[in-house]
Amino acid sequence: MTDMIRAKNLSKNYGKFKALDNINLTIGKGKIVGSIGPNGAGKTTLLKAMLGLTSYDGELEVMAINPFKERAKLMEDICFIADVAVLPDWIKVNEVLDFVEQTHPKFSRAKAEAFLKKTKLGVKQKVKSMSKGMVVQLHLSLVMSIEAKLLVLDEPTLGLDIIYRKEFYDNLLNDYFDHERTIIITTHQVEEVEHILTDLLFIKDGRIVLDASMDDLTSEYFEVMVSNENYDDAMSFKPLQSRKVFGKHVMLFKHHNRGELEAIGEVQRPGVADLFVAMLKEEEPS
Amino acid sequence: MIKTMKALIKREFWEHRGAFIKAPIIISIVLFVLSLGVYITGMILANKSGASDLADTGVRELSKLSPEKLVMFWDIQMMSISSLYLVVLFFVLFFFLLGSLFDDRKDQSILFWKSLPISDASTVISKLLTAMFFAPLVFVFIFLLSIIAIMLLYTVILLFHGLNPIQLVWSPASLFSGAKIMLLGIMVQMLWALPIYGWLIFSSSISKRRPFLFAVFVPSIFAFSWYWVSVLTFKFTNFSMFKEPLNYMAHGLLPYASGSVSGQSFHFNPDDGTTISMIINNMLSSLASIEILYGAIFATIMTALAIWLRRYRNTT
Repeated sequence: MTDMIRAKNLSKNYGKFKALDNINLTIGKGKIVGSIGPNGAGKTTLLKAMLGLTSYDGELEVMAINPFKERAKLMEDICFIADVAVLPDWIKVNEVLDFVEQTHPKFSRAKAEAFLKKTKLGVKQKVKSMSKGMVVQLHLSLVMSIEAKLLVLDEPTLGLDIIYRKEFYDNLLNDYFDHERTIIITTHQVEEVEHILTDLLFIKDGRIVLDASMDDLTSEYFEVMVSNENYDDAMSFKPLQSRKVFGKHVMLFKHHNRGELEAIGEVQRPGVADLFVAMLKEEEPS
Repeated sequence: MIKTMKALIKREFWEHRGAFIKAPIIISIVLFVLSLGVYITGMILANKSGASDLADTGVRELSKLSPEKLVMFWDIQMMSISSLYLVVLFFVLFFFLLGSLFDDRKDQSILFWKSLPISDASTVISKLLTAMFFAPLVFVFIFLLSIIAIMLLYTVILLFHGLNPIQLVWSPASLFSGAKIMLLGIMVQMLWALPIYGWLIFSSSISKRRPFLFAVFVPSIFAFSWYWVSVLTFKFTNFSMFKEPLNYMAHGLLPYASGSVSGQSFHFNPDDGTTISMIINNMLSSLASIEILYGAIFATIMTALAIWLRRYRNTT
């Protein structure tokens, strides 16, 4: 398997603050990686380093390229949408199409126009006059028309209506992802993306707390709906977390025989958000 | 590479349509309306005061000039109008360059521009080329259109007074000469203002909040501290730290007045045989000074620094 991204002892300091603290990481081809962590954990700094937008200490290779030294070259094979709708106010739809067509060797204008036809955007429309959702639609149409090997999304749906949000990920999966490509997503809205992820990356205080595939996670962690009569049995298995929903206890277990757990209640795949909270608790010295 | 540069320069015109295209068009409209206004006011005032032939006499003055004087009349006309364009162009470029590497950081669209395979060097150089050549060329073009409009206005007025516009306008006034005056003016302006352009693009790249304050205050503080040091060493009349930068700026603002390198003042007197070509030659001779070379070196260093800084700049 070819590695898209390799980081070795990657660090980034802002004065005394360690935004990235000795990160070691490899991301392979064909993955959809969700990068999850609290605010200020270093998710965005990690992405910026990968995109050549910031300097760093340690080693980092993205598709065998040093991102900070050769950003322009790297951008032929990477696309990214940053956390805000960032197309310039003054640009018109046809101008941005012209510009990307003339500067990006792997952009297909025909594809972009086909995507845009499905939206309500006019050719002469200025970004200034668009709603936030429309700007994201335009940006996504551009990005999906580029034959990139790596797509990086930093909070792509922040501030979007719920309808646009769902459409965004549907488009991404149906029209874009094809297992030759790699996608990295950071988001707060974990629930929105967890069904499309293949891998998870938990980041806290500039360090990677967890780097695992979804398959591994779901074979190690179980969520069980425990009714009151089995409560004591369940507690003896030492759940990582327990909360009460509709008179039943929802408990999270790690490394347990699935058969054993099925005896005490209905076993489900845990949500990423719950896993994340449980992980953080586990991290803390008790 | 060239395709990317073309797209980058086109991009500047999309963003700065107002400054690069609308501003010169507005100057030409204002000039036209002013000329027409002056004529109409003259006519009305003359009529009201019961001396309607006075205005007529005024217009007829033109026909009394010798052919050589007519040519000079038109050349001076063109030079004054083009001076106006050059002053406006200087200010347009001043603010364009100040914002050139800052505005996209302020509105965060830099993250979009940096997501395309375009190097920071290409980006910075495209902005400098726009300021040095492409925006000025648009000004030249609109200047010529404005000259044609003024010539047409004269034609109509002269016909109205029964005078021959071919003899008084179309034969002595040469668009070619106007284009030459303007193009040379723009070239001299660019060469003298180059270090200022370099400084502005550097200020735009380095500033985190207010490029204007940086661009103006840093050199002022530097000059005043230098002057203070001179005073401490009893050199009270050493003003070179103010003079040098202002010298570049003055030449950049008013290139046609760039003549007096040797320190002699230049008096324009149409009666003693001074011609437009003497002004032009005098202006061109200013380019032979060593200061032009220093300016170009300074501009190159500033641009290189701006490119280097751009790599570290994302959002403000």
